[in-house]
Amino acid sequence: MSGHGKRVLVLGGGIAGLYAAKVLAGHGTAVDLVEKSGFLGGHGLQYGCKAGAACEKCGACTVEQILADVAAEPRITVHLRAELAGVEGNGRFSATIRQRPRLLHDDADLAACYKKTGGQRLVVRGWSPNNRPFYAVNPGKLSEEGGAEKVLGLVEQACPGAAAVDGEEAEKTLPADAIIVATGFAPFDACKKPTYGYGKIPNVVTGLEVERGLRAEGRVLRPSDGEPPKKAAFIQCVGSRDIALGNPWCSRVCCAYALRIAQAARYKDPELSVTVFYMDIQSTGKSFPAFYEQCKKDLRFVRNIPVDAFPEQGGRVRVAWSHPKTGARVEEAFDLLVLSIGITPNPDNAGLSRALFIPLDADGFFAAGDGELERAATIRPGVFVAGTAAGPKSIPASMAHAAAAAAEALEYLKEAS
Amino acid sequence: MTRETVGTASTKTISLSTDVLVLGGGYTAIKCAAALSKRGFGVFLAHPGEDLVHPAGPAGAPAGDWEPELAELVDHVRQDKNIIVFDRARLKKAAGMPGDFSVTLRKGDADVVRTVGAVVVAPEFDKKSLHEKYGLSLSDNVVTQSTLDAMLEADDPVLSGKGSVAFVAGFAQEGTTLLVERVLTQVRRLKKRRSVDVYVIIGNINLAAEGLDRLYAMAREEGALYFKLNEPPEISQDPVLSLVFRDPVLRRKMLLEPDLLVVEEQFAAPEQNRSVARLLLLKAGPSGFLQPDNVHFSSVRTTREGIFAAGPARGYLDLPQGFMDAENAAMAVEDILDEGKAEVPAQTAEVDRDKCAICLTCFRVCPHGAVSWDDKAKISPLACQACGLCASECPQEAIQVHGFSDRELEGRIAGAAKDGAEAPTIVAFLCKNSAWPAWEAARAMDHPLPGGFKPILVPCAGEVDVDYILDAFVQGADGVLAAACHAGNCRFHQGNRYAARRVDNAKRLLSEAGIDPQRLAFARVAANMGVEFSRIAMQMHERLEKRKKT
Ligand SMILES: Cc1cc2nc3c(=O)[nH]c(=O)nc-3n(C[C@H](O)[C@H](O)[C@H](O)COP(=O)(O)OP(=O)(O)OC[C@H]3O[C@@H](n4cnc5c(N)ncnc54)[C@H](O)[C@@H]3O)c2cc1C
Ligand code: SF4
Ligand code: SF4
Ligand code: SF4
Ligand code: SF4
Repeated sequence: MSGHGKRVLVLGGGIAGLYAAKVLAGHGTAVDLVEKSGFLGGHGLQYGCKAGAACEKCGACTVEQILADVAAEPRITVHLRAELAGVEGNGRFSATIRQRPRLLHDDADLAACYKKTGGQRLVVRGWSPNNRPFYAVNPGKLSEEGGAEKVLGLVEQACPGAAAVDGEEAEKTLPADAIIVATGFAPFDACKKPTYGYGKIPNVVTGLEVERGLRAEGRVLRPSDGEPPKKAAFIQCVGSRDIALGNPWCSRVCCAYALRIAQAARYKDPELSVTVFYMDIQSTGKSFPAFYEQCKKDLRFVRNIPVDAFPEQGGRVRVAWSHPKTGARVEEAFDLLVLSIGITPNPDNAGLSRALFIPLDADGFFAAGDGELERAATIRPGVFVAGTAAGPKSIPASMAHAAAAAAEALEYLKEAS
Repeated sequence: MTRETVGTASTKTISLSTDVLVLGGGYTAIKCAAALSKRGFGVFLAHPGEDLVHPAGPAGAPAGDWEPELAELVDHVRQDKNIIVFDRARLKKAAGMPGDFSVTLRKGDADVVRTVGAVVVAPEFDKKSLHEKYGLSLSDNVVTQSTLDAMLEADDPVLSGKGSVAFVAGFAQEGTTLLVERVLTQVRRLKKRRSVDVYVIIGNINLAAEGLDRLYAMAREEGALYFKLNEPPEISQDPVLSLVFRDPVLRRKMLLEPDLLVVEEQFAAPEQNRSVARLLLLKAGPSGFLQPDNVHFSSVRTTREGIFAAGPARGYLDLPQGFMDAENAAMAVEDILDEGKAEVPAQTAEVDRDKCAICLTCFRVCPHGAVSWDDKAKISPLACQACGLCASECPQEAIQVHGFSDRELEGRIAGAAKDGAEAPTIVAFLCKNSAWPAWEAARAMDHPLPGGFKPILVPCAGEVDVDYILDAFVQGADGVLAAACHAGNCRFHQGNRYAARRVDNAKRLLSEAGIDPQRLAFARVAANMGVEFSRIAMQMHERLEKRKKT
């Protein structure tokens, strides 16, 4: 096999990193998979199924499946809570990673602690049973004042006898014959569009929150009362195609997820009415024409992006927009307002770009493939990029990109040996 | 070329051809040939055109800045000794299994037969003019996008006489990023030539592709006017060419009288796909593409092992995506044909040649084209995905899937149905790809599950025999659940359809036997939905409890 006796470092354990690792391992290559958070799976693992009468091809369940494959693959070594500290060498690399300790020894202790301290959110769970370990100390708590020491104190209080690890942050050096950067994206922070009242009006939520809710509950519910909405609205392009914000790009996934979520919710609750405010509707894949035709029948489309949202009685949200034909101001109240947030560059990109000597593009994503036919190579031999680290993509597109990155890396390994 | 692979305890020795057939004469096919040759495979590149040329065939996207790279690639492939090009050739016949396909190419008046280990299908799009959908007839001043391309290429003097050009696009079809990219590229080429007024009247602007948002921004800066409409403009060709529509920004009626009107074309799935699908026994997907619209068929996979679809063969993909596919297809070929990887797994289905009555049911049901026959049915271990559909359909019970033989399952069913003091006992056949992981998720997340819940792993819900269901009742189960994936999500393409049908059959049999068919249920759930799995199982539990009380 082409990759025998070689080691590849994959940064980021979202679908792109997982799939690249799986493909490489399948070709006999040893992989070090370095994930910053406590869990593999990235954003895609947090999404719910959007099937109605049939699968709507959102791709969320494939993340689950690829994660299971990676968990069962002996050639992949996973490093959780780890980040790249530095890279040396050229062509053949020596990478230093920094890893935060686990704080508690075994999953059973953490599980017990999770059950006892549920409300405090000291301990969090993964999204899937294929997240191993399944429990982790909440990273949010660790970054609060007092950090690890405070958390351990609280854990000791709640669950006496839990075997703590008094580890310091540790550094490891890993040899790498090639590197694949798959560190993903940051969801747009909806607070940056203050007129929509996100964070202030209870039933204004982001697409990411709806996705997570769908995963956890199997339904779309209002945060204020946990009830399904009767009348919902989606605002598209929130944080994307917005020159004033400096985000001119189309995020390429939010039309698809919004329409699929809307249809999935309507399947469970045919009474639900959905309004979609949009500029252009982006295609969702091979069956898109038929799917969109159905959407046009079932949903109300308004070709205008609203400017404001206001709280109303009963947890409702009043949305104001200008009528696409007359330009007159229109206002209407909804039970739930979903902001279809998009994909923005991971804030770590700048640091990674410096550490790896690979440039970013004008938007802040890794400049792989821009205007190039080889879409996964960077200007630096031996360093490749996969998935949304290089720009907005869906789950299937991230997988295709990751496979191409793995293919190019395998070719590179052959030539380099 | 052939390569011998050495068998170990769990593998067999089979010889594989390391030649590969690539169908198509466009850049994706050419790139794929180069990528395969680089990996040491021999390539037959067959295409219907006269010659491999640059610019190659009806390429998906305008070559633009990639011109030099593409020209070099075509040259390289022409000179590559590992690549044999068949011009004016079409696939006429195909038979065999991964590692050993026999393909017949019709080249001119002659047939050429070759043995190949794998096939990559990579033809280019067909472009269809949509002027008729606008009620237009083509003329001096109403042209297709292809005509405009040719005029631009030839630097046609007629173009110099056109002071204003209008495009209409996105009203006669659901637009694609390919359409938008082509319009924008043509607008830019027009603008670059000389000063000309350009108007683009368009439905949706499909920008969801790499670099397209930037191209749109550039094209707008260069001064063309864009009108995004929800309805098509009124176009008349007589007495003068004119377009009437409402400008949605200024909210007023507009009249345009351009010197030239360019009408959109459709990128359609390659015409070849249809015959290729038939000859290669592929289950094609929507709009004539060669991949089912199913998330488990990622990247270049088709329903058959050893046959891959790249670029326009499988969807609306642009040139760079086609190039990624070309690399991915070459890597996938390496995966099955390369020495170490050719180890034939033991976890497949096997035919008991003594029992087989050669009815060929298995050949018809196998979604992966893994069945062939000599005097008895034969299953290719390289092609078989061990889904078990054939095993449950075979009237002679002549097929067993490794790890899921009838005997093994009978044992598990007996164990599950009898075990369990807390009634009601639910024997649940859970598909490995969907319901089983969903059940595992439900457990991990502490979602409620019935006390008498007894899961049994099956490779695909379509493997569940009616006999298994009846057996579970005979052995004492209070309820039986068969749980599969959602329609259109089956990893084995259609196993869930068989499952649904069999449950219906079993219900009928139960009624006839005087057993309440409500005790049997069929459910669909995705692998990631523990919460829904819990709901399904608990609802069944409650139904059975209620039944018991009444
Ligand atoms: C609200 C929303 C809904 C969506 N719904 C869909 C959908 O239904 N279908 C679909 O196809 N697509 C959907 N998408 C797009 C989908 O999320 C992406 O295609 C996918 O997650 C991309 O995978 P990735 O691996 O590139 O990035 P990510 O999923 O972001 O994964 C990156 C991983 O890298 C880790 N990481 C980050 N920085 C570092 C670092 N410095 N070092 C090490 N590790 C690091 C992260 O913790 C993470 O685990 C949606 C996107 C959004 C915003
Ligand atoms: S809708 Fe999404 S999660 Fe559900 S089955 Fe289809 S691809 Fe999987
Ligand atoms: S995918 Fe749709 S919602 Fe998202 S940025 Fe593009 S046009 Fe806007
Ligand atoms: S279905 Fe059974 S009996 Fe019929 S050909 Fe196949 S193995 Fe033989
Ligand atoms: S088990 Fe499935 S893939 Fe294998 S031969 Fe039978 S039907 Fe075909």
